[in-house]
Amino acid sequence: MAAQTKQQSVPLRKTKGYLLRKNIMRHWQLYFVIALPLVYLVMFKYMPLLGSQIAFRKYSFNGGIWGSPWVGMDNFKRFFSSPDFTKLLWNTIALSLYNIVVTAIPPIVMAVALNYARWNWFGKTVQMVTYMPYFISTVLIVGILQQMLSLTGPLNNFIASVGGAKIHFMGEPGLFRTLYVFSGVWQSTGYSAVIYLAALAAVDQELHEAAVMDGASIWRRIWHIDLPSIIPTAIIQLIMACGRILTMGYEKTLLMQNDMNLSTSDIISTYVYRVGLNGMQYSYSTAIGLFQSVVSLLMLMLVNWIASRVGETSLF
Amino acid sequence: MKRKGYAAILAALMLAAAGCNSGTASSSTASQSGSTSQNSTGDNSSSSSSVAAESDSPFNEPGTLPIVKDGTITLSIFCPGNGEYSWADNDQTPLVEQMTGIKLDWNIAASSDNVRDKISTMFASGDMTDIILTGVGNANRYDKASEAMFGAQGLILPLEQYLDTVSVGYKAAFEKMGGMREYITTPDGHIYSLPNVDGSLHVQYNMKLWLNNQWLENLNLQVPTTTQEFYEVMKAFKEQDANGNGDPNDEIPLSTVSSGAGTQIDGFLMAPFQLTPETNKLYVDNGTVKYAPVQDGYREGLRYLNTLYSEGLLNPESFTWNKDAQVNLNEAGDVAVIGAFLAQRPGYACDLSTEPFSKKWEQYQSLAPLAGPSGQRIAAWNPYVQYQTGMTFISSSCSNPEAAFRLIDWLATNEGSMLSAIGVEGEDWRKAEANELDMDGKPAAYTTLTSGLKNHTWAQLMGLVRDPYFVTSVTTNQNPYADDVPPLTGRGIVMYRASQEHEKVKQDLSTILPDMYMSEEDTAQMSLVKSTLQPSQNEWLAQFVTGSKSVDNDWDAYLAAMESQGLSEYLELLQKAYDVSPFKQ
Repeated sequence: MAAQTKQQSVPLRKTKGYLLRKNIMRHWQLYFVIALPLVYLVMFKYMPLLGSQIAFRKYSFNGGIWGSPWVGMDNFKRFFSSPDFTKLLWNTIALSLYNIVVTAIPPIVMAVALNYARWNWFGKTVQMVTYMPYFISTVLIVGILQQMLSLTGPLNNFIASVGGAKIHFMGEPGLFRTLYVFSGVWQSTGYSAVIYLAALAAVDQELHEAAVMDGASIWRRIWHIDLPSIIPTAIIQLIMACGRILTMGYEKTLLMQNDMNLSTSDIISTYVYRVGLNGMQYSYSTAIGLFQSVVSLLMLMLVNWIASRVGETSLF
Repeated sequence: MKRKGYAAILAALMLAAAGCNSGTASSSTASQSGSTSQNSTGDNSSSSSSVAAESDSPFNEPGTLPIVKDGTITLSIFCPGNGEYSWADNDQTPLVEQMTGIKLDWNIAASSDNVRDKISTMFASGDMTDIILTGVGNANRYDKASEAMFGAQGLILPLEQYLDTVSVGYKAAFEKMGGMREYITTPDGHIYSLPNVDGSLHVQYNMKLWLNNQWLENLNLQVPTTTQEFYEVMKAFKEQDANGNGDPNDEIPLSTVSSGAGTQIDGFLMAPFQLTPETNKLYVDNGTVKYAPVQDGYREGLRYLNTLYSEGLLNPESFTWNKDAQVNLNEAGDVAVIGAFLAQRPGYACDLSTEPFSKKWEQYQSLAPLAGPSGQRIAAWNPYVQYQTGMTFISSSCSNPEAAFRLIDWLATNEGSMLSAIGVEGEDWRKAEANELDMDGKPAAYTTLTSGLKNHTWAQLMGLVRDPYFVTSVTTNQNPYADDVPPLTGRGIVMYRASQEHEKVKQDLSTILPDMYMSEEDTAQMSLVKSTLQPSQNEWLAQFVTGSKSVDNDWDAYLAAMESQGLSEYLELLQKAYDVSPFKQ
């Protein structure tokens, strides 16, 4: 602002604070609506982050979060030097990557295919039927899996009846990842496809009509019109999935785990469950959780950066 | 440009928070513990309220009812849920209040709650009930290390002063059961929890093998007494039509499940080669703590188990399936398909939990411990399992610790425990007549009149002391399979008699390593090692038995793996605790 030497009315400085207050006054309804979720976010998501500090302390009930003694990087060192660390890290990454890559594709294929369904009722019915397994609880899914794949179950009986040797599916370490991933595909494809279907439905019909008039076959249309419209959504999903690479949920793994497949089924989350919760090692397990979160954040930023370089879509 | 920047950072933070919200036990536990917590620092040393002189004490003489002289005292109590019923509506609750003069203010965890989470929250916030119960189930009861930790941190009160002065029920229990007081006392002389006592014999010998005697008869075979004979019997089960349905191929000679009471594969069948106690697989040899799975005898046993597996006698699913799956398979057809199974009780292969109850359970008899090639015949024994510690605490914020103690102590007397276990004399039970016999075939002490009533008694909630005589002196039909005997009752007698066979060759008391109290440091270290060592050993066990690792070639690699998991350190910690414990011989 121009410096004025006169003592009279100083022109109103349009500071940021002033502008913000004016903004709030004018659109107070919007701010009001967002106020409550913001409070929720701060209270339940940000403030508990302060509790993560016990990763650097030795937590005891007496001291609580703020009073327990500091031990620096001890907990992290203990985790990194434990004999299982390499195995756990590899198992977690391998399972996650396998999961991300394989579960990314079927929803796209299904969404595109359903988009071209000739009869509307067919498309809707298939969509609903494939959507349903998502709501079945993990415990039930694994129970069904164990029954179906048991040595005396239907699949093995079928294999035996055509003259093959029975396979002990749940006991083979080599099969664990495949079973995990493909049962997940069955469960979540319908649900994930919905997002893509929404994106496809938003495609302008005129584009399709123009393409048909130009003599494009269905495959060309898919390639040039449908896929480009859902690629941005797919990339965003992929980036977010990469961000969860180390924090894979433990419920399904824990249920599918047994003494025979531990070499591939033991992941960081199940280790934390065993050691942290059952062994009441709160500091130790928080340290591992913090490690997971930091790596996830780095992964997220890395993949996002790659996506922004290679294409136009990125998360931020 | 700047607005975009702000928006981008905000979005990034939000997404990072969402993406990073791992939802693993650690973050949820940390958030549950709450923010700044000023814990009530319960005074750890003996409380100031020593037992007052009788004239001005608010209580009557120990051993007389009511406990409270005038009026009532109210105590708050935290306990697990009771299925769909409430403890407050339990038939026994008003009786106890009336008889003792102590009223209870119930804080009941919903059945689906994690009782331990709730207790952790109580401790962390400092807002505790007067009495804290975890329930008798193994999943929620605290192990000694945790119990000692709570005591050391001043969260729960030491109770030995009351046990020495005003106790009646527990005093009698200590006299009847040798070793009990030592078992529940920490190295520095404190007692932090009041245990339930379950004098049943069968829980002391969990690892049994149930063999289908019907099949033995069908094939004209003798009951096996050695490992070699057992192998022959298994082979016969496999090759011939043992269950008599015309199909020689549908029998599964031997099976077990991946986890359950007494189900470990290296238990009953490993004992002829190397004694391997349940779960922890530890024992004491001349004062030295040893780990069974790394001994030479264990290696021999692995060869035997591998033989059983490779000849198709051991069900491959044993390592992956659970009790429900095994029961379903065996109960599926008209005839049983499982020849022998490892478990604490027949319910692991027969459906004794839903009506109509299984008929097949009568075919299975417990096998007496086998003799190995060296002639070794021994059964793992755990007498300390009778004392269920870590389930009943008096918190340091208790308004009237002596009242709380006297209540639980009264429940531990014979009359209190009869009330909790069975019910009221005259209605639920009566004194036995002269001609009625108990489980041992001797004259019985009491006869039950009712059974299966819901929400009728406190059962095993707290302070239930059933010494061995209490358990066996009930009137029993000497024939467990009689028509008028419900299977669950008959099962109890079958298991009692089966346990007596094991008792004949039980391991020496000095070779048992009980659950011990340790310092907080040591406990933390030990539980960390235990939670990684045992799963690893289980994995190797599965691999040795199934043959994917060779007992001859991979044994050294196995020993090295156990070392790298911290076996030596683990044994050192245990040895240290054992040496200062009252169990040291």
